[in-house]
Amino acid sequence: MRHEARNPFVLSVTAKEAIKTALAFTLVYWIALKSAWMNPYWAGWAVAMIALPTAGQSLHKGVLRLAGTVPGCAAALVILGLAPQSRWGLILLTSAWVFFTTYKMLGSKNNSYFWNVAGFVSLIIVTTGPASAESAFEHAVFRTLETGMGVIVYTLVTVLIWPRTNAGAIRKSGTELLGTQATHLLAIRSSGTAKDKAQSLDQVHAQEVSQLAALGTALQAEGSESYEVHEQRPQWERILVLSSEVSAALDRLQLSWRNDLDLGHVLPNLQAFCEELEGRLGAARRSVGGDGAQRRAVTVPLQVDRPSLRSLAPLDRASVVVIRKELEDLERLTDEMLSCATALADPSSKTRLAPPVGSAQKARARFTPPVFDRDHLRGAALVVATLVVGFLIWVYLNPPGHVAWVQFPASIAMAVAGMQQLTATKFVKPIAVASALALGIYVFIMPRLATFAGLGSVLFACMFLNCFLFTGLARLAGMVGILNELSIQNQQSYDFAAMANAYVFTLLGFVLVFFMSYMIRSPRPEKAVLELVSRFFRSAELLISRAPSDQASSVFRRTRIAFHRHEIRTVPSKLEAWSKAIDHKLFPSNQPEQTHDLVTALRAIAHRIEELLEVRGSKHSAHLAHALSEDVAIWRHGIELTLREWVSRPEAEVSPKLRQRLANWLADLQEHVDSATGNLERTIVSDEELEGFYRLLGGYRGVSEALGAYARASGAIDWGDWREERFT
Amino acid sequence: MMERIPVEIAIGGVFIPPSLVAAIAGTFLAVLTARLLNRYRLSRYFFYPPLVFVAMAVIYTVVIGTFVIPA
Repeated sequence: MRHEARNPFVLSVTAKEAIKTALAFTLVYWIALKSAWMNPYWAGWAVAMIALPTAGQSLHKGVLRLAGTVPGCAAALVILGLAPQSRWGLILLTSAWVFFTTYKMLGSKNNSYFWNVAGFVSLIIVTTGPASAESAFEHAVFRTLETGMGVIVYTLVTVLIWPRTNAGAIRKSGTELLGTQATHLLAIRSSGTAKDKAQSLDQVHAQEVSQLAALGTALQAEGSESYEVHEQRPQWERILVLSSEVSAALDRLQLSWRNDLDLGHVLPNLQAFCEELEGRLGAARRSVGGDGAQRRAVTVPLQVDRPSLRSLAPLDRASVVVIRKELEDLERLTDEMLSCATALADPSSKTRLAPPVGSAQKARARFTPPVFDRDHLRGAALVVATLVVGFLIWVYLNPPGHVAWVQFPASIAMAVAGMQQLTATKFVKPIAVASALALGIYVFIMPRLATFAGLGSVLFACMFLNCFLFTGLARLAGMVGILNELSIQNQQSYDFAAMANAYVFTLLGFVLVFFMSYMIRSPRPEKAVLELVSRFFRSAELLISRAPSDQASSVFRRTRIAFHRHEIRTVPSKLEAWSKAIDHKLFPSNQPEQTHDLVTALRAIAHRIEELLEVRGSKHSAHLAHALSEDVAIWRHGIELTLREWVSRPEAEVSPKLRQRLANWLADLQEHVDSATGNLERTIVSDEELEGFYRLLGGYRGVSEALGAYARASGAIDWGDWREERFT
Repeated sequence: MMERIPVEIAIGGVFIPPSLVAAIAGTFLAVLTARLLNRYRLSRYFFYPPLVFVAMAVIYTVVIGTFVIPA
């Protein structure tokens, strides 16, 4: 084995980053103390929170922190102005603002931190009001000023000393993502054993998801530090949107693809068509990567061999129609992707960005009120409940911590609402240790310091060691300890009792949030998984049972349908996050692979139901639909009963009996389709109507297959184990 | 009848209220009991263990505060 010699005089990246953070931290304290500004630790918090690995990321977060501080301060001043003498009015208005900002924080993809800051800063300023109303404005101004100073100082330090840029991160992430998407398409149409194929597709899918997230992050980070990227931002954002649409289209194609059908026979130029799509993705990849060689999209219409198609069984015919539709969607998306990548590589080219597909349809679509996310509402409710309970504790008990009971636990609750899988008690241990160490410094070292040189050295050393030795939660705990327990002021005085009280209060704040999280929903991950599965089937049952005419019904009904569609679309991802939080040592009979299969099966059901809803509303032969209405009613009734059963017992009917019943319904349907299509000569059915009908049939088949797959995945899980009550 | 004098616990010269010590000990004992109940799968007999945990912490705190470390 070869060991690379390490130069002891060359600093590691971690050491450099720790030095930069510690230096900026010390500098902001120096500036704030020198200028006699109020609460110098506000500037320290700004540095601690925006210290991220690259300049772009830090700048982006810093801008969001500063931008969020302004509405936070403004909201607090308005609240204090509206309810200066009314404690209940004050808490009511504050609760409304905090509910709004938390809901926006949870729903926002790019500006989540902005809403977080707008929420907790308002609490900080509001809580200064009751103590000294006349200084609320002063507090707001200094908070904004010191946050801005912290952001500027850290940015200057990170740009001037050992700069680490994101330059090239977007191109790198974009190239990797487009390469993976081409591989995904290749893997879908590859032959091989079902198990091997499923494994490789799973791998590619996971890679694609993480690369999509990486591209989004890179776009924000590099966009903040590079003028060139900032200028090309619309194109890059379009590429990001198109990439996620391609990814969704590939997922749908993967679900519809059938290796048991001779697709090459029915779709004669399938190979050439797929090669063209892969070629487009490859060319887009090269353009995004900055390779000059460009390529234009060649139109290859996907041909259908009608006699071969007619020779297939009706349900197989339906599958082919669905696959063709998915491939055509993919063709449109890759064409747009290539145009966009070409425009990006050569800004002088005359390629114009087409308006996003679907925007015209959206504009024409009937008004549907916005759909609320249940978990986001629940997160916002947790924060407000914590705020109100903290307020009551302060008003009626007034324990150590005093007015901070209004602000501190609610701020933690905002963080917990953003990471619901992370319980508040996970913070307690690291914060207890870090705060105890910081308290030791406060008691034994700080009283001996007389000049800023001494204080600066202590601050630098504390921050350097924290950033050098720890990461993640431990680092955050270290920062909380340093900033809260050292309590540096312009007129420094030392009070052990006050700091010991602050220590106890900090820990009790986390304990309060932990208890409150139980009031809103059990933070036990296995219980959350059970609840989400139940919610998923409740929504699925409602969507399946709705008649197609419901799509054109009242606003209330459309909102209801939109809500349940949102549920089935989002629950699988939430379930994935919660299932990862389950401690599998406590539930040895359910392993991560089983929960992964469960999530995949639910995701497939969601895709299939979406597809069915879409084709239900499209044009299809009324004659054929009428001829098969009885079979469809039987199918729907059976599915509804099964889904209703799964709401309360997800393991019900997972035996081969269900699969057999689904197969029987499909066989009956197939038989009746045969006889109904045999009579077609007597009726006038357009090609479009016939295709619509086959897509509808494919929709029924898809849902049945997805339910069968769920039954398999669910049968492998020991639901009783998760259902059993236990202490966390 | 003698008036009860407030008692405080001194640790290194720092006076700590007995109710705080009782609460810490009560919570610790509740954690220990919960672990034992989990270990022997006895927690499945409770309808809602989180509430049971709070109840146990309160009971232990009151018992310790009354008989072991009285205020």
